[in-house]
Amino acid sequence: MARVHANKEMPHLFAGLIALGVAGTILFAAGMAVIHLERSTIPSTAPDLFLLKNQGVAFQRAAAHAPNVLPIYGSSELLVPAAPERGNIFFRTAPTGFQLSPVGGGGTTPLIMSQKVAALSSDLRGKELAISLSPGWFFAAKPGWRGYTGNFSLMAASEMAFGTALDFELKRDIASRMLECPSTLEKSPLLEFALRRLASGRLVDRTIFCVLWPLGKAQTALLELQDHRAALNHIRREIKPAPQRHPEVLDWPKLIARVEATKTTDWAKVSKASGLNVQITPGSRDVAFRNGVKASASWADLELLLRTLERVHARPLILSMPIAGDFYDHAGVSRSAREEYYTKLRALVQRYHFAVVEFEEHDEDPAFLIRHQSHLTAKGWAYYDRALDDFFHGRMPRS
Amino acid sequence: MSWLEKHPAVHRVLLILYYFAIIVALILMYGRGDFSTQPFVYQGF
Repeated sequence: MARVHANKEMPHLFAGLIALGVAGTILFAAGMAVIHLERSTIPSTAPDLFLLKNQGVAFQRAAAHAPNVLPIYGSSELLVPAAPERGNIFFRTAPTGFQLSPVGGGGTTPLIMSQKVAALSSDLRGKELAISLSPGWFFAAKPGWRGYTGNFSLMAASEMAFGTALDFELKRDIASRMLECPSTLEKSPLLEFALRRLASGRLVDRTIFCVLWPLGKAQTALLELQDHRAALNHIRREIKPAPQRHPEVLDWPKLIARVEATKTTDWAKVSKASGLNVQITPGSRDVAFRNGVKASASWADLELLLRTLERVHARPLILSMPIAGDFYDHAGVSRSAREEYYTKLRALVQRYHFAVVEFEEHDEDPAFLIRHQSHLTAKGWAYYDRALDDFFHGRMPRS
Repeated sequence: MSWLEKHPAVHRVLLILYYFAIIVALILMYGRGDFSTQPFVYQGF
């Protein structure tokens, strides 16, 4: 009776509500279908690295759901070299039963990774994943924000802020760091306002945040919708055929020996080109180096990442490329000074009871890194691959 | 009395379709996300 009355008295409201209900049902069904598509095409998308995978969450979520995919979060080292040993290429055909799904781009930082991990939240519960660290992040007291702004994802940041995976204390600490780079928040005044409330930590601000929360969730839902739509377009237009699975029994010592024999370093060429033939007194820059390692803000960011991983109950392997010891020897930074980095990293990660491999024994191996950058050579990747394979199969990861 | 007023069922259906079209238009306009990042050229290679 009431329905008939409403229908007659308020025909526009009635029609609007019906249309909204129909649209909502269609959107929900379409969303489910796209999620199914994202998951069923994961063998094709997992090994690739593309903008939407980095900036959205849909493909990362699909990778987190796939039992035979190991996500790896890192930065520029995931993009080079174009050698068959590079992780995502090496594991493309799942030779040992899993594919590697890289996420990250040049200049990605631990703070960016924290937001991505927080965005995935419950999807990472019990999930194995790898984090690749660049030692260079931890040498400068105040690393720049350019890499952060270039990799910032509004989607991941909103999911972190308005999601329920993290507690207020962790959100407060992440928000405080994010607010140090306000240019990334210009596009979303709501997110900036919410982060300011979170960062303050005061009861009144938390209350305002809770009042705002439904609006934030609505914004996140809209972003998710856009993410799924973009994912659908990517699957329709840009997806490659899924690689054929090719199980193999890998002989790691043989594989590494082969890579060592065929790949030579260009260290000599580079050292000349960079003017490193100038003699610098060994150890003369140890104090400056140690001060940089001691004061670097990246340690706090790494701790935020570790806290986030712990909070979402993920099972991470923390990998760190070694320092280019040969380069630093020439630059006046001794091995004992460099040891500070390895020791501090191990101590921090072990506090969270996560597996860590820092490849310290390759510190002075000029064939492990491309020039003196935090980019692995084919040999470096072969060692990374072995550690990842060990980890995925429940063995102690070797360095 | 107009034709629509004589056919209330058709009127209701048309109204629903009208609002549905508005919702679809809004989705088409705002459903395309902006996944671009701030200009940044990584110079570490």
